[in-house]
This record gives sequence, structure tokens and C-alpha cells, in this order.
Amino acid sequence: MLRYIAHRLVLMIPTVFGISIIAFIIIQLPPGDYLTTTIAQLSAAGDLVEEEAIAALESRYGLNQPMHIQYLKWIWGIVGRGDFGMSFEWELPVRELVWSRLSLTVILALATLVFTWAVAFPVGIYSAVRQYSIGDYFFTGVGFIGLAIPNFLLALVLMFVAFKVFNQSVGGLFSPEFVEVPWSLARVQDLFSHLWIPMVILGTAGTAGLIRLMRANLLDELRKPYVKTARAKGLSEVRLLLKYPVRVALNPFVSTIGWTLPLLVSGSAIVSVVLSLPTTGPLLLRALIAQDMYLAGSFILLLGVLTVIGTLVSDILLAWLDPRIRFES
Amino acid sequence: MRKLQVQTWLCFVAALGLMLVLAACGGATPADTPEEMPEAAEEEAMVEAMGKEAPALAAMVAAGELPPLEERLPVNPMVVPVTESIGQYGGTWRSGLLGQADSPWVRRTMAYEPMMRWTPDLTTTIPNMVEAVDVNDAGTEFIFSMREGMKWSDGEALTADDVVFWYEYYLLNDELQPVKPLWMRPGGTVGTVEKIDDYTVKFSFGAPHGLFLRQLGSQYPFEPEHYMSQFHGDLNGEAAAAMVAEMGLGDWVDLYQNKRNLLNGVDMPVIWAWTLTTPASSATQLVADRNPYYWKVDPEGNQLPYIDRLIYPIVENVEVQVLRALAGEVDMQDRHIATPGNKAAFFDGKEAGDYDFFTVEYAWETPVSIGLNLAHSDEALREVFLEKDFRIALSIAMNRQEIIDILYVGDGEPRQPAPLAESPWYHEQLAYQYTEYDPDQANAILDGLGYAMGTDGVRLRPDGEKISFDINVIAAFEPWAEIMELVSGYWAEIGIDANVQVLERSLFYERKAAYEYDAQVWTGADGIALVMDPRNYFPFSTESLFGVAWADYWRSGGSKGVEPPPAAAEQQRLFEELAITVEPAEQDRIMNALLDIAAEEFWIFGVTKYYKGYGIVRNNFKNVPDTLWQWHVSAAPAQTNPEQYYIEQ
Repeated sequence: MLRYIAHRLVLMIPTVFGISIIAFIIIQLPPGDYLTTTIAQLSAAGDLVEEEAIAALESRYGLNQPMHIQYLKWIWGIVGRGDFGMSFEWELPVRELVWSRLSLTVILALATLVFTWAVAFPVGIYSAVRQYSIGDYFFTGVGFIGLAIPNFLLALVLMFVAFKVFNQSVGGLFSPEFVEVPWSLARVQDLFSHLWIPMVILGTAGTAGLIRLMRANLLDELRKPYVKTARAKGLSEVRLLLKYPVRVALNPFVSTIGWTLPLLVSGSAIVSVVLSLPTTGPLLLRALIAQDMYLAGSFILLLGVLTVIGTLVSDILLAWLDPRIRFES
Repeated sequence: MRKLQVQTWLCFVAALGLMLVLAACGGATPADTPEEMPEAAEEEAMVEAMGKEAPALAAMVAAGELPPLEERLPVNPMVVPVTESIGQYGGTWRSGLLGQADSPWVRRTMAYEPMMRWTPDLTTTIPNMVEAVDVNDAGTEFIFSMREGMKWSDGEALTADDVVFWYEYYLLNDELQPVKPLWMRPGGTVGTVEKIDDYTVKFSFGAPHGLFLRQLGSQYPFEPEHYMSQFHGDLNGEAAAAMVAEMGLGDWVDLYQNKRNLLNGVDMPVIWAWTLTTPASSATQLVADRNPYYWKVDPEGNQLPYIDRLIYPIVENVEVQVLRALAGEVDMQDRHIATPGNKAAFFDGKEAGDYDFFTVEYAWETPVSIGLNLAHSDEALREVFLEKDFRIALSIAMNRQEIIDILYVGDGEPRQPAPLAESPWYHEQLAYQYTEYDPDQANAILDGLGYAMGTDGVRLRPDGEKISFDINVIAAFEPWAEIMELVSGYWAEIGIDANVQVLERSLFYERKAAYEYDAQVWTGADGIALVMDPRNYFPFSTESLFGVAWADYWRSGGSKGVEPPPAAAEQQRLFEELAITVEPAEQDRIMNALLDIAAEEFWIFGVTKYYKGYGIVRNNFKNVPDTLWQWHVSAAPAQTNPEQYYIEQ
């Protein structure tokens, strides 16, 4: 097992390296760079940007160098000094910008994850055990509606309802009076009173898929002879269910843990934009639009690394959970 | 001090009124409790002080935490006229930023304090940070008298040294300013700035600088030397390098720019009415609090601003801000939220949100200027575009009133890109020529030009190809795509094939910079003052859609772009002459000559006059004019003095 993990860790290095190159190239693909975007904005606002000024800015930002030199500089800063470069638009180090938004992002993502599982897990089991019952149809139906409605639309609708019906302050994760105060019990309560909206919106989409997976897997297992044997031996129905088939059917939950890690950072981007949440999603989107390349590149690299780590964690957990999975290559 | 005494009586009355209001609101002023009444003389002094400054500041003065008002104000504070009435101190102005990087709204509400400032009618600039300016007859020397006793927001004196510091260490530093701005180098060479005494500076130029005082209406040639010098590599190299390393920045230039950043420079001393206390990088909101050293007063001598605090929640999505405004959580704002599409919703929500509209008039000449690329690289197409009659035919083939009715709900007037009626250089011919809808006449003109109608209903160029071109628009600001679809329909009827292409913004600019476009659409920029951005009147900049290549040729001295035709070159020469002309009458003559050529050449055409915009303002939020000009150069609404807005308590 340890050898396997070590092997995987070594393999991660070239993978991440490859991701960083692709990330950097993709960011450079759209026409123009940060300067053209800035110049476009300045000249639209009537400010004249002269040819020489542009050239000076280009050399200042290193944008006039060939792409591979820019890349090497960037990657060397990360490897050598843990320096992800500077955000052009913010005139702040990338590290600081991302860090300041990370804690709320992680809280939101974890809450969403817990919500998704708390709903999908029991509903999935119920739907499998009571297949084709009214309850099965009902929950599956709700799940699919959640999956089918785009998140941002749900967000807009909920926001409007919150405003129209409850006259509640919309957007953000805190009420105005709690925005700038230090953490306290009241502030945590306030956070949770706002958190449920994005949590439900983000969660509903995820539940449908998991419910169906759980249901399908469990249905397969329920028909297997070992279930009959256990039942014949007089095991109580609940204990039987939870101890054997459910445990096997858990595999899809565990293997998706790997995907949730990158979602921690970027999953809620559009919903966060719609609801104005101070998470990393809007920052990433803005960086991509403004072609703020070190900020955007660092984000994409971070997402890549998290995906790779997440996959590894999933694999290890799967092996631990299901003895049938072996490490032969 | 003499001045203060003269106004004592007025202030006493105002203070009494204010205290009554405070008492009514349950404010615990000492006057509430007769037992604790101080001695009569002291009381009078206190009352006087309370009338002249915000109660919170008066309390700080009483507690010895802040110097008294006389020491904080300059000897001659700038007196700001109030829109309607003398205000009351207190309250919070809530608006909002769209995304963390939305610096223009911050500039427009709290940070427009340039050397000179635009007047509310946008016709000229008046001294702002300086008290007065004296120009020599040649227009080469500008002597500015600064305000003696004026302070930065941290209490340090603002003197001529801060202007000289800006000049020597910011402007002349090749790392901070690799290219010196145009407004500091009329005729090519950079001017000089020298200190005459503590409160007098002289700007001298090698050539007359006719536009300088107007250009200063959006320039900030002064820096807090006592603060910024600690981040300057040439002055404090080692310490700056240590800070650079600690903050993970690239070099001291990064550090310097970071420290003076409008949205994040919390510690930076400023001269604004409010100073930043929570930066935008906090990700949730930007907050600014009253600057106790602000150097402007109302006509009764009360220190401004009236409003205590500005809060800008940062929203990532404009709909959130719209809902906030509808819920009455926005006190005054037009930016982002006040679109024509939202007007109905805002109208319905007036009562519930307890707000009303103010009118916004655009100082831009038109929302739609359509520029054909008159310097097109395709010779045959260029020949067609350069034919003035061809452009006339396109212009009169457009049913402008229909466009206005469909896309601007009837709010507009058929018009070309031309100075507005409010401008000193209003030009009737330029404004209204060829706006009459007449497709028959258009067809006749094209027939006359010899562009024979092809079999498929598209006219042919002299070389036998179809007259067909693309129109580039972007999907922002105005319904350009929809408008141009209508226009392309009108043009199809006269046998011209025009295809509307909606481009991403960067690509739009890339194509423009490379002269690789047939036609592009944008707004006008300067309908009143004209000299700040005359892009639609002659090939002035890369925003002059009809002649980007001609403008480049002029600006680069012939090393780039395409040589403009004689009429355009003459206009460019006239503008150069204007820039070094000081005499107003002479400036008028030159500008009119320039506009006459524009009218004769008919470079570019438009659809309509700007519609009337709006903004929303809460009913208890006072002194916002009923109508204000929207213009980026004057940082609208800043030209209406937000420091004299107040909130009725």
C-alpha cells in the first residue's frame, strides 16, 4: 500500500507539471492579454493610452517576452519561492488574494457536501429498497428537477423570493451589520442564516446524480445471493441492509470525493457570482475575463493539483473500503 | 479668525437648529441635561464648534484627540455652494461596487479632488486643490497658489513640496513613469515644476499649453511626500526592498503602486472628503469614513462633508444591487443599476423603496456612432467607403425614428455625432445633416455613383465584386447588435450587404488596433467640452473609428498607420494649433474651423441623440441636483460635489 502511494505521488509530479503548461497556454489563447483588456477599458473611458506607454507596460509585466520564458519565470517563482506571481489588476500578490477568500469558500463547499450526502444517502437507500413506490418516484422526481434547473436560475428565483416575500437583504454571506465585525456566536448564526440558500442551490444539483447511483448500485446488490443468505440466517432487515449491500454500494460516494476537492475552489463560481458571495469563484471568473494571467493561471494550477490529490485520496479510500479492489497494475 | 467671527451668529443659529434635531432624535448631547450645563462662555464656544464641524469630530476635539477646527482647515477653505439647502451632519451613504475592481464608482463618489475641477455644467474647470492660478500671456507658465494650512487626511501639511515630489520622484522617475503623459509635454518636451515658496508652485512649458487647465480637471499632480517617500526605491531603497520581500511583490515599483492604489491604499493620506477604512480587497465591502482634515466648507462655514460614512457592498452580479436598491438599501446610485431596462421595475418600486429618480443627461454626443474604416487595406472597398456620397446614401437610408421607437422607447432624436446644443461649439449642420429618412434618394445617389444593382439585389463595386462588409459590435453598454441588425435591413433595401458581427471585447480592440475591420460601432465621448476627446470630429485617437490608421499616423509622426487625406491632416494640424493657443476667442475660431471640415467631410454618422438616463436617490438623501451630466472626465456625479449631499436625520 505504501509503495503504491509513493508510486502515485511520484507520478503526480509530471502530471501537475503538464497541467501547469496546459493551464498557461490556455490562458494565453484568447486574443490579447491583460494590457489589451486594460487599454480597451481605458480608451473606452476616454483615456488615451500611447504606443510607448503600452510598450513600457508590456516590458514591465514581461508580456513582450515569448510565452515559454513567461512560463518558466512563473513556474520558477512557484517552485523556488512559493511565489505565484502578482495579480496585474490588483497590484497584490496572488497568494494573498486567493488566501483571503479561501476560508468562506471551503465552509460553503463543505456545507454543500454534507447537505448533498445527508439528502442523497438516505433517499438513495429508500428508493432502492422501496423501488417503484410513490416515495421513490417523488424523491427521484424532485432530484431530477434539481438537476435540470440551472443553478444560477434557481439562485435568481430564490433571491427574488427572499426579497419579495421576506423582504430579506439579498446577496452576500452576512447581514450588513455583521460584515466587518469579529467572529462571534451571533455572527456564526448570521452566516448560517445566509449559507443555506447557496447550500441548497448547489446541493440540489448534486443530489440527483448520487441518488440514482446509490439506487442503481444498491438494487444490483440486493438481488445477490449473499443478501438472501443473510436474511435466511435471521439478520434484522436494517442491520443486514447497512452492514452489507449499502457498504458495497458506497463506492460511488467515495470515488466522487476526488471530484469534490477542486469543487471546493471553483464549483460555486456562477452561483457565487449570482448571489454575490465572497468566495474564490468570482475572483477566478474576473481574472479570466481581465486576462489577469498569473491569478488565473495559479487558480487553474491549484484546481489541477486538487483534482490530482483528490483522485489519489479516492483511490486510497476505495481500496480501504472495498477489499475487492487491488493495486495490480 | 476675522471671518469666523463674522459668521458666528449664523453658525449659532444653525447649531441651535442642529442641536434641536439631535435632541429630537434622542441624541445625548450635553444640552439635554440642564444640571450639567457648562459655563455660558464655554457653552457658546462649544455650540459654535458644533455648528462648524460634525458632532463626532467636536467630541474628539473636546477630548483632546484632534486639533480644533481652525487648525485643521486651511486659511481660505474652498466654499462649496449647496444644491438646495444647508445640510445636517451624519448618516451613511450606501451604494455598491460591481466586482472588487470597480474603481470608477469610488473615484466618482469620494475621490475626485484633482488640481482643477470641472464645473457642474461641464463648460470649464475651476481651481480645486489650488486656490488660484495665474497664467502668463504666452500661455507657457502657470503659477498655482496653494491653500495655506491645507492638510492631508493624516494631519500633515500639504505644501508645494508635495507637488515637487510628484514631479521629481514620480513623473520624472523612469521606472514609475516610463512614458511621460501627454498633458505634461505640449510640443513634445516635458515641462518643469518648481517651488516658489511653501504655497506656490510654477509649471513651465516649452510651448504654450492651451488645454492645460482643462486637462488638470482630471489630473492629480501631487503626492503625500511624507508617506510615499518611504516606498520609493531611490529614497528609501533598503527599507522598500524589505517590504517588497515581505509582501511577496516583484520590485519597489509594485510596492509604490500598491500603496497608492485607490481601492486598497488604506493608510495613504488623501485630500478626499472621506478616507478609506476598509479596502476592496476585503472582498465583501469597501468603507470610507469622514476625513477630519477636509478643506471645504459650505456657504455658512460648516466643514464638509455632511455625511459621516460611505459603504460600498461589493456585489458580483448587478441584479443583487438592483434588488438592494428596490429594497431601499441604496441611498444614491446610477452606475450599473440604472439601465433603461430596469426603469420600469424601479418606477414600480418607488414607494416601497422610499426613493425617487434624478435625471441623467449624457455629455456624450451619441450612443451609436457608426464608423466605416476609411483607411481600409482592401483598395476597392476603401474607394467605395471614401466616396462621401456613399456615406450620405447609407446615412439617409437609415430610418432613425424607427430605431429610436423600437430600441429607445421613443426617447431620442435623429442626429449625427456632433456637439450638443449645450456646448459652446454647437454646430447645427454637423448635427442634423443627412438625417432625413429617404431610401429613394439613397438609391438614386448609389445609381449615380455607378454601383449597378447585381442580380441578387446587391450592388456591385467598380471591380465587379459585391458591396459587402461586416459591422463589428460588442455585446455591452448599448443594444448595438439589435440596432445594427435594423440598420443592415435598411441597407439591404438599397442594395448594400452589411453583416453584423458580435465580437468579444478584446477581439474588437485587437481588430481595431490592426486596422482589420470594415466598420465598427461605439458611443460618442465628448459632446460639450470637445477638447478632451474629440474622437468623432477628426482622426484623433484609436477610438476614431473612421480613421484609426490616420490617427496613428499623426500620433506616431508618420512611423505607423496610414497617411491621412489632406482634409484630415488639416484638422489634425488645427488641433495641434488649438493645443498651443491660450486666447479663448482664438480657440473658438480654430475649433469652429475644425468642425466645419468635419461637417464638410462627413467622416462618421450616428443614429440618435442620447436618451435621458436616470439614477435613484432615497427621499431623505438631499442636495443631489434634479438633473446632472454624465461624463467620465468630470467623474460624474463628482462635479456636483458629493461632499454637500446630506441625509435628513
